[in-house]
Amino acid sequence: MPDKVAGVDRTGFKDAGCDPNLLAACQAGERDARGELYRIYRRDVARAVARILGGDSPDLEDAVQDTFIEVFRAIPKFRGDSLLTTWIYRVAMNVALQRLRKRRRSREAPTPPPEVATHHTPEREAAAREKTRLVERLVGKLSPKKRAVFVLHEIAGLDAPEIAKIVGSPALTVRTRLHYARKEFYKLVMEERLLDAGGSE
Amino acid sequence: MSCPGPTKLLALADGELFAGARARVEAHVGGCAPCAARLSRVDLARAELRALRDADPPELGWRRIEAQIHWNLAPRPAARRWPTWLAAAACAAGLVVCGFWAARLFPRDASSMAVVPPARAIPAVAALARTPASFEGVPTLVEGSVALVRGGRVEPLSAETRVRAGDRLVAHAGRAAIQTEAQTVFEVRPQSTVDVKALAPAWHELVLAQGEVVCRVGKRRAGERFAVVAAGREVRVRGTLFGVRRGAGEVEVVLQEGSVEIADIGSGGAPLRLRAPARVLLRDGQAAASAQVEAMAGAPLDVHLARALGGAAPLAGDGAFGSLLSVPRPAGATVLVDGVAFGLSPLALRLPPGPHLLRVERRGFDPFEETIELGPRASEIAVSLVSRSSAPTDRFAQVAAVVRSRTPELRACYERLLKRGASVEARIAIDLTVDTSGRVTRTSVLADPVVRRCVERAVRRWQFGPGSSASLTLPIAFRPGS
Repeated sequence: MPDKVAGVDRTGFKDAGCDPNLLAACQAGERDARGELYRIYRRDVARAVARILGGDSPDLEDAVQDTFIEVFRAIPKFRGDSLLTTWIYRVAMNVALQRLRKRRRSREAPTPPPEVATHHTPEREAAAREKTRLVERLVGKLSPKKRAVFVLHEIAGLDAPEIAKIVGSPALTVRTRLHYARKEFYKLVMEERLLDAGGSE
Repeated sequence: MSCPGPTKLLALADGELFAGARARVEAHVGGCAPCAARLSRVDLARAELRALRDADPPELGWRRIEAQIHWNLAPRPAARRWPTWLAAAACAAGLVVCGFWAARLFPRDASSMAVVPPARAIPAVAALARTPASFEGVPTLVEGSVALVRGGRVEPLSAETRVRAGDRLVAHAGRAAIQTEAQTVFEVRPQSTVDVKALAPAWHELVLAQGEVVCRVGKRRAGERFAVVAAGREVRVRGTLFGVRRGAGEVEVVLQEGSVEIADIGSGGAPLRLRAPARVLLRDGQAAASAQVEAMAGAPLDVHLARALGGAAPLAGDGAFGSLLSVPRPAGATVLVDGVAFGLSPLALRLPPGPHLLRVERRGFDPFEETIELGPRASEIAVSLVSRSSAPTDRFAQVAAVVRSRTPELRACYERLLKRGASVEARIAIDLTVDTSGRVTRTSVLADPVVRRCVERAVRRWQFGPGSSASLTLPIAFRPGS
């Protein structure tokens, strides 16, 4: 299972040394066990969904919540075909992507970066923050399908076969889509003058 | 050469161009400012993407999320989601705080005290009989921290805690919402103490010892019950949003939705029935032949009670509530009891009698921590915190320096020993504790008995600088002629 191991490395999830007793207790639906699993993985899940939805997204909490609800609903069927971490990560990615699609449906514009509360941060930090937002906004200009593979590849650090499993498309399709997504994104980047060093200062 | 297209530039950035093509594009970029700018934007965007990948996980409301996860997974019919309730509770709480509608109770008719009719006692027994042990409330901390007192022990209320009948919830600075059924949640407001007397499906009873509680209650059918008891007044509801506040000598009920009945326990009198919106103020120790209730949106409304309400019965919980601990000083320090942060000092807390670990901490000061034994009476503990201006190691060094500078004084003790010709060389170890005022509070000297008494006497007279509190052991060696 080489790709699984690689996936775990790049997801930044904690080592998969999950206690089998804990897993069994979660599968039996024990509340305390669920709480413990939640505490082990909540930060990793939050980081994973934040990569997709953006760190300032207002629905991060909902996404984390939905991920764990999904995880605990499906965990009785978890047979250890992949590492638990990989599996949870995959669920998180699916939940986040679903939210992303929903968001795109509900309002055509990508999440407008909130008019930053940066007035109390040092100016340089604020400028850096603005650049991050700008990049997030450019990512948001991609179509949902392209955006999903782009984010999974460029931000979540997954490779095409892993992305294929998450989005449920053949790896080849993912590769093609990724190619066009990258092309489109970097084209946008190249013309974005606000990214220039002096652009926002 | 014309400017390379974005695909070419990207290929260059990706290192995917063959040597010849790369050299050509690089040469062009070297002399073309717009292309160089484009390329640097690509690098910048990549760095940003990497930063996004490595970003710290965001800090979220972990406890709230966990409560919601458990709630959503709990096998329950028609589970409703949290936010509506919290919003409703917050809304009702806002009513309690913001508005002010006065209502008066007429003077009490002392002759109308009645005996509790047995019919009223039966439901309580029924409640016990039908209380499944597993019925529990799921807390959500809205803000601050709230303590749970269970069997004389204090523990912090967390999302993992389950609230059961017999528990006491004490909110000093914090606020917590306890969800019990799909349609029912009650919020313990800051500065409040609530006893959970009964907690069963469709059968809840809370005793408000102090402060306020805001309740969103699902529909109750005949035989089902949700009641809040405050100062001998019982507020019973069916399908309602309401708040009860216990102030000094009065109980205030604010009703936003649905209907409530207010009865005086033990009076046997007909309860006061209210429909929303209404607010009623009931004074302790007073009963009335009629109460004036002000409907929120309209003119005052006189409600005549069929019979006089009885006086306020003493709260069963009040006496047993335990001792009052007040921490008047220092101001602005966080007071923790048994690991639960109760708020900022000065404050007074009611706690179960017995031993408690009191910790007072403030940024920039050494925390105070001590196990205190609370008796049945009030205890006042004024804590003086020591500035952390000097690190512990500095303080040790400070004390040690004083000891070294005064060591020659101890030579006289050594001389005594020499006179007795017992030994040529002497080693002693001084173990001493200095308190915050710089006084020596404890010494223990390892040495010949004669030397020990002499040294201890001398050391006890030493003064150290204020704030140099430390406990340390110092070895000292004496040699003849040194």
